[in-house]
Amino acid sequence: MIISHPLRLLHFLRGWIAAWLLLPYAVSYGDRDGGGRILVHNGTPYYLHVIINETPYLYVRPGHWVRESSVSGSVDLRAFYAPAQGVESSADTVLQITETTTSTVKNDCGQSPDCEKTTEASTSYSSATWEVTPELMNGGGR
Amino acid sequence: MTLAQFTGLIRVAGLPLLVTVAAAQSLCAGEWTFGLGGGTLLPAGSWADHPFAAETRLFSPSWSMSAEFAFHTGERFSVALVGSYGRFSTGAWEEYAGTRGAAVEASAWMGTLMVGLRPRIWSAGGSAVTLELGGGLLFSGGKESANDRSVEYSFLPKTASALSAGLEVEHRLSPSTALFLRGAYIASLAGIRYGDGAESPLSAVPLLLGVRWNL
Repeated sequence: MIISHPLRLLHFLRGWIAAWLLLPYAVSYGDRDGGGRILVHNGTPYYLHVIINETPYLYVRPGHWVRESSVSGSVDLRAFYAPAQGVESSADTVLQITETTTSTVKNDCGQSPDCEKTTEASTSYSSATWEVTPELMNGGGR
Repeated sequence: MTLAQFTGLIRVAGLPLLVTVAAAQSLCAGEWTFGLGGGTLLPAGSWADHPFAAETRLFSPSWSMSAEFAFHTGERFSVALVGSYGRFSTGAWEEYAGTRGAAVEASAWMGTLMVGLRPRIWSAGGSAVTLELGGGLLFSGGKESANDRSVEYSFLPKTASALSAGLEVEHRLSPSTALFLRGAYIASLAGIRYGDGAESPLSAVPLLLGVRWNL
């Protein structure tokens, strides 16, 4: 079979074209399941660079927040002023995200030997907030 | 782009393209050409402005290069697989930082892998004008070092879908060789996103001069 008209070639390629446009969303993006949330507030009058567990969040505006979900355990946080603002300072801290597992009995059979008791486990995570202030930055503190 | 990223790109994107192109060749009568181009890459839009340095561009034009394989079904239509890579200059931002006592070194790049549909809209003698409409993948990255710290430009999309529209003027140098001048507008479907969620659409304009050979 010979496709002599370019529109037929386009028709033939339509599936691949659609796959190409959707490919980055299939392989590059996706919500991570589980984990708690870290919030960092820029309480300074300058732009900040914030690092959460080696992930950079750059040019955070004064008064704005950084939100990182799906973290657990010890979370390393660093904040430093973006360069060329006339100030140089940094601060760092470690916050803890705790994981709590709760088991719920779904079918309490009492003493019956024929009943199969079932339980359902659910996991929840805490969240934590770090307020970055000029005093914190000047002290280099936590 | 690291070697691992490039290898992953070839693995994910290269094979389907090769299959598509091979199938097209088996179904269509036509000829293949290969082209190389070089020129400049212009960031288009406010996304390239520095977030707080007034009147300063974080990203400015720099060089760009491209390579392409095109399948011509006839005199009036072709399909091309085009790869490009270009850098953005960060000199304006570095200079601004220097005047304020901060020694900043920065770099940024952008690459694309696109499939373009090219209908010829005008031809006369050995010259032709071709429109290009395409789609594919855009890759970008960069980093900045200051005060003994280095940070990746995480606000640039590592991988995103992109659409392009362009215009090309071609002039035949010989029966098997042609010179081309091409300009395009590439728009990423995922823009830049700063740490606090501020977003801006990302687009760029490559301007390329190149040579194309019949295979």
